[in-house]
Amino acid sequence: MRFIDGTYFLARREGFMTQRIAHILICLFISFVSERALAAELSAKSILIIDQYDPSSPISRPVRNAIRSVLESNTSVSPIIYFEPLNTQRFNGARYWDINYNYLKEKYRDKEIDLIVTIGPTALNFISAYRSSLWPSTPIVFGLVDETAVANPSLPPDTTGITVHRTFQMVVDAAKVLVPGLKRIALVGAPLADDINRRQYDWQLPDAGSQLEIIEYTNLLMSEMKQRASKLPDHTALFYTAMLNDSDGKQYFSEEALAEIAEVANAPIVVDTEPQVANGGSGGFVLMPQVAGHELGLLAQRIIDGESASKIPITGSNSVRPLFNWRELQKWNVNVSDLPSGSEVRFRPVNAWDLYRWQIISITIVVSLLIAMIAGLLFERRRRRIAEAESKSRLRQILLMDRTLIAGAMSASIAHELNQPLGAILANCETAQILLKAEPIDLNLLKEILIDVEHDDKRAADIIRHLRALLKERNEVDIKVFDLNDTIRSTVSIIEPEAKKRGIRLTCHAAKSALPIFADDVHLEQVFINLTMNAMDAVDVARDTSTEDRDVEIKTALLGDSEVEVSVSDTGIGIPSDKLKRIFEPFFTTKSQGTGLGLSIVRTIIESYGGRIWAENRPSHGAIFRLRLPLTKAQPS
Amino acid sequence: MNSRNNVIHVVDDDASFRKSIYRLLSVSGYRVVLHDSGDRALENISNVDRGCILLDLQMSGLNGIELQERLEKVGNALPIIFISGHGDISASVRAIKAGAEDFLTKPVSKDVLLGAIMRALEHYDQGQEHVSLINSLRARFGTLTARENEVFALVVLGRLNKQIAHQLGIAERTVKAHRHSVMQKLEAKSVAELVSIAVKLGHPVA
Repeated sequence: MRFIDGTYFLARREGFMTQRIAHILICLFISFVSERALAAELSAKSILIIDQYDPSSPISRPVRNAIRSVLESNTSVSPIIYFEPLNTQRFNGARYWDINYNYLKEKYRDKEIDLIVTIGPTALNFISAYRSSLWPSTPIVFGLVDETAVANPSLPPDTTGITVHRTFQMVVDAAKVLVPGLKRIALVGAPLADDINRRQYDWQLPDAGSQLEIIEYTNLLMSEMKQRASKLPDHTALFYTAMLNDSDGKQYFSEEALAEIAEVANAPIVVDTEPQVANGGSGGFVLMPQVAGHELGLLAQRIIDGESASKIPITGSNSVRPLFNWRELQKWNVNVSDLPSGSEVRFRPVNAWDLYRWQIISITIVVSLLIAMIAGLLFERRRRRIAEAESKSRLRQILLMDRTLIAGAMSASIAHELNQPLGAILANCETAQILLKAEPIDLNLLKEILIDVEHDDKRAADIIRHLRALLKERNEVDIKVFDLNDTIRSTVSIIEPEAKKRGIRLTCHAAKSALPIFADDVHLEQVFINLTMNAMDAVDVARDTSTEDRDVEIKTALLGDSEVEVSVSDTGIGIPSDKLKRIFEPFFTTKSQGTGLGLSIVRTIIESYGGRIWAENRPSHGAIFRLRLPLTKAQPS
Repeated sequence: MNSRNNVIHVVDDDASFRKSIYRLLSVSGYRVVLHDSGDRALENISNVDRGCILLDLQMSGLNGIELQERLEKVGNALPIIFISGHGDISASVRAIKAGAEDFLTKPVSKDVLLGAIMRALEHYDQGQEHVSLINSLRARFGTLTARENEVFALVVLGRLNKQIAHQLGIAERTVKAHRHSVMQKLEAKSVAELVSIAVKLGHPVA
C-alpha cells in the first residue's frame, strides 16, 4: 500500500500558515523518500485526489477509502494515490485558491500525475480553473457533484464524472412518508443558497412552496434553532441541510449540530446524506458516500486502464437511496411498510437471532444433543438400576434355590442328625419313667437325665436353626464383619452328617489368627457348602476306582495381611484339564445330576466381594478349589 | 428269664444317644456294653455271652453294614438290630438280607426297642439250642463203630435188614444187633427218629 496522505488538517482555529509550512516540510521529506521507491515501480500510476471536504468529515473518508480500495484491488501494480483536501467549507476565497494553486504546483513539480479525481463541486471548480496550468494533459474524473451543478461547456477537456441526483421533491417525498398529512417543512441549518452542495434545492423551493408551507429556520443561533424546532406545529417535518456555524459564528461539525437539534425537535428530520441518518436524522433520500466513492473508483480505474476520459459520457450516480433510522421511525410512529420501495432501515435493534443465527442453531443443536444424551443416559441408568435390582432379586432366588437344593441333597443326613438328639431324648425320658416307678427313686440319675435331655434339646434346636438360616428367604443382604473361620466351622457342622453318611472324612484346618471379612456370612457359607458338597460328590464318583482314602479337606490361610486363601481339596476324580475354566460357567456340569449352577453361584458370590476363585488338579488325584478374599481392617463385631 | 446274663452291645458314635440307651437298657435289666465305633466293636465283641448288638447304620469309619459283614466273617452269631437315624430303605433291605434281626429308626420307643431285643434274644436262644443239639448228636455219632456207621447209613436210606446183610456180607442177625446198638447210642426210639438225626447231621436219607 502506498497511500501518501500528504496533508492532514487538524487545524480549524490555529494559525493556518504555521500548519501549512509544517506540511510542506513533511511532504518534501516524504516525497524525497518515496522517490526512490517510485523508481522501482515505473509502471505504477499516480492519481491525485482533490477533495473539497474536511478530510475528517464523514463524507470524505468513506469516499476516499472506497476509491482507494477499488483502485488497489483492480490493478496489478498498486497506484500511487496522492490526496489533497481543500476543506473549502471552511476556507474559501480567491486568495485561498491561489495559495493552493502555488502549493500544488511546487509540491508536485517533479511528479507525474496520471489522473485527477475530484470530490465535490468546489474541487471540480478548482481544478477546472487551474488544470491547464498545473497538469494540462491529465484527465479528470469528478464525483459528488449535483447534476444541476455540471454545465458541460464549462468543463475542461478530457473530463468525465458522475453526477448526483438529489431534488427538493425527494425531500418532500420523504417528509410525507415521515409525517402523514404533511403541511409544512421547516428548514434548519445553513441557508440553502450558501451550501454549494445543496444549491439546487434553493431553486426548486418555489415549486414545492406551491403545495406546502416552507419555513426557514436557517441562519439563526443554535439555541434559537433548537427552541423553534421543539415547538413546531403539527403536520410539520424538519429538513436539515448542513451547518458549520450558526449566525453567531460559532462553529459546529454538521452532524453534531444535527444531533443537538434532533434531541429537542418535536418533528422528524429529513436529511440527505447517510452520516446524518446516524446522527439524529429520521431519514430520506440520502447520498451514500461509500457507494459514490466506489463508482468513482471504478470510473477512475477505466481511465487508468487506458480509456479516454473524453470518450466516457457523464453518468448519473446510483448513490442516492432511501434510508431511514428505525429508532426515529418508532419515535414518530412511522410504519416501515409505508416507506418508499427499496428503503433501507438502519439501527433496527438486531435481535440475537439475526446476529447469531448459526451460533444459536449450533448451540441449540449441541444442547439438544446433550439433553438427549443426558436423557438417554438417565434412561439407561434407570433401566440399568431396574435390571440390576431384577438381577439381584434373581440372584437371591438362585442363591435360595441353590441352598434349597443343598438342603434337599442333605435331607437324609439332616434328618439323621436331628434324630440323634431326639432318639436320646426319648430314651432318656422313658428311662426316667421307669426310674420314677422304682423304689427308692434314683434322684441323681434323674438329674443327669434331665441335664442330658436339655442338652439334646438344644442340640436339636441348633440343627433346626442352622437349617432355617440356610433356607431363609432373605430380601436384604446382611453385610457385616465376621471371622471367616467361624463360617468355615459352621459349614463343617452342616456338612459333617452328610460326610459321615457317605463315609467321607471331612477335616478342617483353620488359620490360627482371626480372618475378618466384610461380607454376608450366609453367602460365604453357601460357597463353602457348595464346594464341599462338590468335593464329596467327586469322592463318591471315585469310589470304585480310588483306594481307601476318602478325604475332603478345608483349609484357611492368611496371605500377607490383606488376603485370605481358602482351599477345598478332595481325593475324588479330579477335573479334566480342558474343563478347569469352564466349570464356573452357568449350566456347565460334569455331574449326571447337577444344575450346573453351583460353581457359577460360587464365583458370582466370591467376585461380588472382590475375590477370585479357580480350580486345580492335585498332583496325586483329586481336585483343589482355591479362593482368595480381601480381608477387612475392621474387627469382627 | 434272667436278663442280667444277657449282654447288649450298643455300637453308636453319638455319645449322647449311647448314654441314653445305656440307661434305658440298664434300668430294663440288661447288661450293656458300649462301643463308640465299628472298629472298636469288631475288636471287642465276642459271642461268649447270650446277647445281641444294637448297631447304628451311619458311623464314621466302619459303618453299620460293613461291621455286620465283618462280624459274620469272623463267625460272630450275635443277632444284630440296626438303629438308623433316618429310614434309608435301600440300607435296610441290604441289612435284612445280610441277616439283620431288625431295623429300627431313631427315635425308637422303649417298647419297640425292648420287643426287638427280646425277639433277637429268643432267636439267639433258638440258634444256640439247635447248635447244641447238633453238637450232642455229633458226639454220639462219633461213638459208633465203623460197622455200626455202615449199618446206620443203609438204615436211613430205607434198606431192609436182609438187604443190609446181603450188601455187607454179614448175617441178618448181626445186622439186627448193630442196628439195636446204633439206636441205643443215638438215643433214637424209632427208625423215623434215626432218619431225623441223619437229616440234622447232613447224611443222605431215603
